[in-house]
Amino acid sequence: MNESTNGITSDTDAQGAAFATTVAASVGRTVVGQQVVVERILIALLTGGHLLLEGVPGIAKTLLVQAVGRAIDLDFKRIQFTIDLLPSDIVGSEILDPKSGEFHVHKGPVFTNLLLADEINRASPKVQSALLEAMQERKVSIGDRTWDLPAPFLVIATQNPVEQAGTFELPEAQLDRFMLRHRLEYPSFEEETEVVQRGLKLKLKRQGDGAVPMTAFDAIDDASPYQVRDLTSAMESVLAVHVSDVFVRDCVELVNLTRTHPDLELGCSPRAAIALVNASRARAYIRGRDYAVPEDFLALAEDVVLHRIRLNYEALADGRRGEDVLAEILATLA
Amino acid sequence: MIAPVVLLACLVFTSPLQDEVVSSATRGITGQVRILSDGGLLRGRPDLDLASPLLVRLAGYEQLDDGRIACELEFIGTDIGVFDLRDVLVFEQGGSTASLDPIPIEIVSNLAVDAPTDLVLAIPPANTLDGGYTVGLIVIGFLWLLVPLLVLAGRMNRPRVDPVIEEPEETVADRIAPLVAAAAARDLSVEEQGRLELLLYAHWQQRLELESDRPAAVARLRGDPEAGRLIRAVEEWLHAPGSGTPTPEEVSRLLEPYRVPADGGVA
Repeated sequence: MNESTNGITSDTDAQGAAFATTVAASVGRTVVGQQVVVERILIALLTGGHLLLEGVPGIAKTLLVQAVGRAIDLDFKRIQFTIDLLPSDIVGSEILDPKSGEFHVHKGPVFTNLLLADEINRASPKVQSALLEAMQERKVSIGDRTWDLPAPFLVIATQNPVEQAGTFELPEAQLDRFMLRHRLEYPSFEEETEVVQRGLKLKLKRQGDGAVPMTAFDAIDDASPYQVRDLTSAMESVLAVHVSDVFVRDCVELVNLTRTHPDLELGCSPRAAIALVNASRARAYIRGRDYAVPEDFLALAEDVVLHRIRLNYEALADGRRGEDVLAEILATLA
Repeated sequence: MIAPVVLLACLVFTSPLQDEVVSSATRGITGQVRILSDGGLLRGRPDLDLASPLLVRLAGYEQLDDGRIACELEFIGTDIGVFDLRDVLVFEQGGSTASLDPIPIEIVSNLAVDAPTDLVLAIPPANTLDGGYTVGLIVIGFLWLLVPLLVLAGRMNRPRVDPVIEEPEETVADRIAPLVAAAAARDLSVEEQGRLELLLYAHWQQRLELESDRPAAVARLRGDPEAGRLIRAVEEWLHAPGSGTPTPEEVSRLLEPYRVPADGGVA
């Protein structure tokens, strides 16, 4: 097994591993650590899934997504979700031109390759639904016309797990639309030290006679080692990754066990099994394999399964967590 | 319709009229009547008790200008019927009340016609101890002592049950063994292959004493020089494309490390 300098490991030096390590290295010039999140974003990009990131503010979620987008030369937009946001603020609307007396379509920020929906749980359910529909159908309706969204189209939504006041929790049916939900951790001591030291090196950004201090966003590498067509090619390669019958059986078995576990009120949908297999394929590609192995679905199980299960009242009363139940299921899986 | 009439009779003072019911009341409920007496103050007969059909008392009186006394009497009927109130009255100064005009009053009942009219049912209880109290206590005491004796006797007569010997829980090695044996003899089904591979992970997880977290443990054991080589070989057999179906000998060789040795444990 080879270990690259940016933290993404690979079994061989194959094309997928090169793609992943190059993107990770490009991101690593801006963002310290977070290799697992970079891998999850790549998995989402390579499989056309969507990603929900959960983490406290200030751990470089936006910077990370923007850096990944820049590394593959993807169009990037960010929406800060708030309570007064309207569906038309996302998908766009028809605007009357008073001179011509005709309506013109104003496309919303959803028309992009990489959309960061920041704090998605702060918007009203109507707005959440509008975005989730766009995610599912990859097209939106404005006025009488339906518009295809650009390809690739990936939504990376974020949620703050601590400030729940005034938020609208996404229901299970809508959480299911997200292929992966990943929980971000604080950086390690060494990583945080590196973040601070990089901050010390930032200079001033001059505008005319004035200047403002540079931020980490200004430090994002402008050079894109890959283009959209490279991503498309990688996506095709992912589809060529072999998935054995044994592997499919393991994934389906895992999903089935979530439906019969006594601590769970709601188990995973068939969409979870599909997501598990597809994400494992992409992970195998990133790791330089042309076939998926159980390590892939075991590593991704938490991100694929946890947001799709709901503990019953008794388990919650006993202080059980979804992580505990999943660990139990994985330990008994055979 | 009777109730309003009775109520009205109870509340309105009436003058006695010849041969007419001057007042009526429901049995057990106080009725009132106003009598103009020119023979003195009236009061209830002192010998009346609960057995009497009618009880009466002087509630108040007023000396009138014409020398007569207006007596306000309250009565309670214990039995239904029409009664002459004179029968239960006496003059305070003595003398018969026969000189008064009849004072018919009616005691009515809200119960059904055929309902018993007695206020007190003097039916003795069906069974009484009648001196058998001591005997009853002795019987209860005997039964109380009998219960533990019966329980003790039941326990002594219970057939002896041999202690249940619990089967030891199947170990990972126990579960791997039949699959390894089957793999040497025939092609395993997809189900069996999947179980075998996951059991091999569990086997190495225990053998290398890795953490209980399965994903982390599998990632670590794939990096282990010995386990990683063997695990990757099994993964290639089960998951790699174009690896073809290995012969039973190849599979047997692959699974040789997991074959149960003579001493019973997995190698």
